[in-house]
Amino acid sequence: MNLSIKNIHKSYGDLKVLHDFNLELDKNRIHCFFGPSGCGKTTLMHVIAGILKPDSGDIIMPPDMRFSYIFQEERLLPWMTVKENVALVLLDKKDKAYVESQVKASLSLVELNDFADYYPNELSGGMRQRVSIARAFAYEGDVLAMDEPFKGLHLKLKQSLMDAIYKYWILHKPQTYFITHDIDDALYIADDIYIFDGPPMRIVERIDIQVSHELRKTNPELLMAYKMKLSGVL
Amino acid sequence: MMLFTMKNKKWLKKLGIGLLWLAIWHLTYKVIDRALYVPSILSVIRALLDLVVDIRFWQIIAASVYRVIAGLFLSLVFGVTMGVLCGLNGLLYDFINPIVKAIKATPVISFIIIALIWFKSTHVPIFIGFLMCFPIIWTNVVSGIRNIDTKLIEMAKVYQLKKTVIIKNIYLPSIKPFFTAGVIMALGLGWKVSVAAEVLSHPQYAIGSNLHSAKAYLDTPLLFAWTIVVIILSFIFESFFALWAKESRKTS
Repeated sequence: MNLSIKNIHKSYGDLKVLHDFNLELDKNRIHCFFGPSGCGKTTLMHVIAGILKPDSGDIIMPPDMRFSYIFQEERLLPWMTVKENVALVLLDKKDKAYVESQVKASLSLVELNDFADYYPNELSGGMRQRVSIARAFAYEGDVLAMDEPFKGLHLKLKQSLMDAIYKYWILHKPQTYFITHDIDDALYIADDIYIFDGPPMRIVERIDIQVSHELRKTNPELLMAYKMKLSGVL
Repeated sequence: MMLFTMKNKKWLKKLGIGLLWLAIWHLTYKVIDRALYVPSILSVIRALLDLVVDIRFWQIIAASVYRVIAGLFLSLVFGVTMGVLCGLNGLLYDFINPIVKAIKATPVISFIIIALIWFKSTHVPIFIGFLMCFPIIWTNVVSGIRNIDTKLIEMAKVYQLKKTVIIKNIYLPSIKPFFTAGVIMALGLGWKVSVAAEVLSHPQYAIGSNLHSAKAYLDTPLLFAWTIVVIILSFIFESFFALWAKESRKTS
């Protein structure tokens, strides 16, 4: 079942962030929400994930959807180790062996196995963000929601994380929504890029990227046309 | 080895400072030259030794320790419960806050006098200890609750963590430093006010009652000796608590 966003209204005081907003999202594709900061992308994502209640309107999706959410900030518990932070979202699981293997597997996807017993304040900002990505992986939500997960990370790390996310996506096929205002991030991973403007937020354009993920890495020139287009928008 | 000598150095410094203060005391004693105003160190030590060999001394201490613990216990139970509720509910906070402010501003002696009318003498110090420590615990727990990072709670909700998991893993660890600081303050204050209450309420076994009779007989060395006993007990309480706080940090 696809996700449909129907007639959503959400205001903060007098600021109408979402005004009669509608969008239909195919569950099998990686959707990227692209646009200037402050246009309402995060609000939209919060409404989808149920963090925010819209003033009116509906989000139509199957009941009991579980969200693996990567926030802009790491949101780790400072009094827990890396391992414990990741295991936190699996605390209701009875099978300890499963939890352990799940934590290990997710940490190795973000290459942090050697730091499993560290506390967040002993890690760099980029490493902490990787822990929060590992937490999202371990949870294996039906939805993978990412709100500028690579902010402040350097290019090389960003690419390896995007590869990790793509690998995870291939394995589990979650519905994936990805907020960014970085053109290269968007082009590296998305199937559909929605260009937003606002507030109130509106869709300027939807771009369907028709280059396979494998080719994007080896033949980046194939993305050139898209890149020009996106740069023009900003 | 390095660590050992550093530790040694620290101890030497502490010892030196202690000796210096004793020397200042002794000098003051010599200059004033009236044992009634400032007793000699030796006379205080002698008074202290006379005390500790008496079985009654230990009964007195036990009774006072019991009262302090009882007062603190009550303030912890009420302070934490009310603190959590008020931290979560703004209306309740607005309701309780004026009374806590009033308690904080009221001279402790006013409470002692009214408590003398209300309670049996042995219970007055417990009540006073409770009343004086409650605002500290309450204030700290409220700040602890308010200090909880709402972004962490949001994260916990998105990941559908259970209420009990959220309380145990986010609420309690967030409150803990505030709670610990509150308890350490309350421990010191608890001793002071409950001994003061004892001075006026005269329970049969009480450090305060003995301070009072030392004053009545103008026995300054004894007054000093009892005071030192209170200081030592207060220190012991604080160290035990600090140790507990450290241990539980390690295990959690």
